[in-house]
Amino acid sequence: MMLIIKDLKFRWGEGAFALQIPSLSVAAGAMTAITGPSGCGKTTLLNLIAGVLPSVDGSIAVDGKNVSQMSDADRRLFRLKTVGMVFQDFRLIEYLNVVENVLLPCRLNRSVGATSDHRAAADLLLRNVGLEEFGARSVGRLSQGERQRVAICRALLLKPRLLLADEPTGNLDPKTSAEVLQLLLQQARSCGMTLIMVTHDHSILPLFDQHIPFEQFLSFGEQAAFATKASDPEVAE
Amino acid sequence: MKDTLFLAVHALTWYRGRSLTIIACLALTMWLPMTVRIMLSEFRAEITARGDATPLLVGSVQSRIDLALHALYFEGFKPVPTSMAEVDRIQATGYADAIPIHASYRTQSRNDQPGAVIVGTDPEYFEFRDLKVSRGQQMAILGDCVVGSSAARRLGLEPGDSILSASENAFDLAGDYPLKLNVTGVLEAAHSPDDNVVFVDLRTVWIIEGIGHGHQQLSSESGSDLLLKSDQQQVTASAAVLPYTEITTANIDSFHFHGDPADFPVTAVIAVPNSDRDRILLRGRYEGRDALVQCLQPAEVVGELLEIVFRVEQLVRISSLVAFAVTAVLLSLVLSLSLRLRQAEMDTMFRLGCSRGMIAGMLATELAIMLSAAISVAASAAVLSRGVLADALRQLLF
Repeated sequence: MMLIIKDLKFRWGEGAFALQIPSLSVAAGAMTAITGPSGCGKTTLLNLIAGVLPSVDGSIAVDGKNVSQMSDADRRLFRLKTVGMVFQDFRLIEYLNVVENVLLPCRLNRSVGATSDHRAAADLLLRNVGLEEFGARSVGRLSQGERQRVAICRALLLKPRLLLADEPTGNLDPKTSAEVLQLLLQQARSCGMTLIMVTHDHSILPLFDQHIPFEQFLSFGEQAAFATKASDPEVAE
Repeated sequence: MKDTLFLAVHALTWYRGRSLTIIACLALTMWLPMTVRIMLSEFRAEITARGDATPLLVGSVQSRIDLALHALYFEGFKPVPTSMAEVDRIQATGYADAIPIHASYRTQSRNDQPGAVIVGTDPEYFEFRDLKVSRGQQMAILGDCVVGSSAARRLGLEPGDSILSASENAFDLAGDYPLKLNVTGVLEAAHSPDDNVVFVDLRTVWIIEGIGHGHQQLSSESGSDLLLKSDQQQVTASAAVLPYTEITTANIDSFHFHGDPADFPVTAVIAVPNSDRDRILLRGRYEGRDALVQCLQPAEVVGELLEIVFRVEQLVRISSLVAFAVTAVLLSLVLSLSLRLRQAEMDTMFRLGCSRGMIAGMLATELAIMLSAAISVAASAAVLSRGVLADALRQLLF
């Protein structure tokens, strides 16, 4: 198993929101989609898996390592070497060009460091996603789809075992969205990675091996509250 | 460290408008106190050295500071002259050698540059100040001059050239005529006020002043109509007699002085005592004398002057501190707003595995680079502008 979560409880400060997942597992190499209403904790779960947020109760094991028991420094290294992250808003660094954005994870930790091998790997990834001509270009001059492809290359650079994607197609038009999704699935499969992707698009679920509807972790009361919120035109908008 | 520097440099380049504004503000805030510090420290060293190298000064009773600055720098208020009798009096005591200085006139402007001060003195002055001729030779006859290195460069003078003295008053028909001074040599740079002046023999200055002159021969052979009356007591000449404005080998013998040489003016006298004892004895002589002449020790006067300068420096320092505090507050505001704008960027780095320490290090590196650039700019500007400000300070003080 790539991911095993047991009795996970997480609460943001003293707020009312609480995430409770009694049990969840994802097989190694599986393409997994997580769906659920907005604000139910999908992104929080990804952050807990990646070790961005420290968990309080329960355990999260990724590739046999218990993330919840790691120190801050270990979680950072784990995040860098084991997890690749793709965000809805791409989160590219605007003052770096395309290839430097892909190489960014190497520059963020002294134990990794940008080597010529990394540069060759970045060039290869950019070629695989059709951006080989764009290496020296400023990311500000790329289209939304191209930016997300750069973000995917960045996530794949250090060959992570687990790829976490938080609504990676949320900001893209349908055509680009389909292209980016195909690319993500194809790259993850070809590299033997496990992909956990948060999405609101139920039409793409057949492309995944596993589907985790987040509603199963919500109480009846919470489900009713989210349903009411979703029916509110302002919230829906 | 290499990666931190890489990211910091790229961020600074990307946000170049902000970076340059911060660098400019910091540089401007640092420039003034830096310049004042450099300039005053050089001025202090220069004036102290000059004061220490001048044992005693004798001159008319007036402002001690004015007399000292005039004798050391040849600038400032034109002092009330004393007379050559004072030089003779000092020599007669046997306590000191007396070196007269008469610096009341300037040369005319040349090459669009204002004229230099003409300093009339004795050959002993060059020995006393250790001034050596680098090009050409020392002055030999009346009308010759040697030029300080800076003045020569500024006015474009070389041995063989000439320059005219400036008339005090162009509308005074009875006044002095411009005298053509022949440049015989240019002095080595002494890095002192001597570099900025034109040296002539004392008698040449007196000729410029009108005490001495040369004119056409008034003998019966040269033209009887020029000689109106001649007897044992005096000679009366026609107004048509032309005074010479250039001293040449042909007319040098016609130059002569009117009056008692002991009454000829000098603006200051440098007294070089033979020993400490002689210095005290000479000063003692002036303590008890009438109040028309004073003897002062330039080092003491320089100390008084530096007290004033020190107060000005303190004032500038306080103003600079206030300006720096205001800049620091504004800078922290700009940086905090900038950090807020870059929150997403830092959050991304953290999510990708970067430590908060490295992010802080990157921001600190950016700040350090901007600070270093500002210091470099301020220091360069201070070095470049200190000359201009030093001139401004001298004009303010002298």
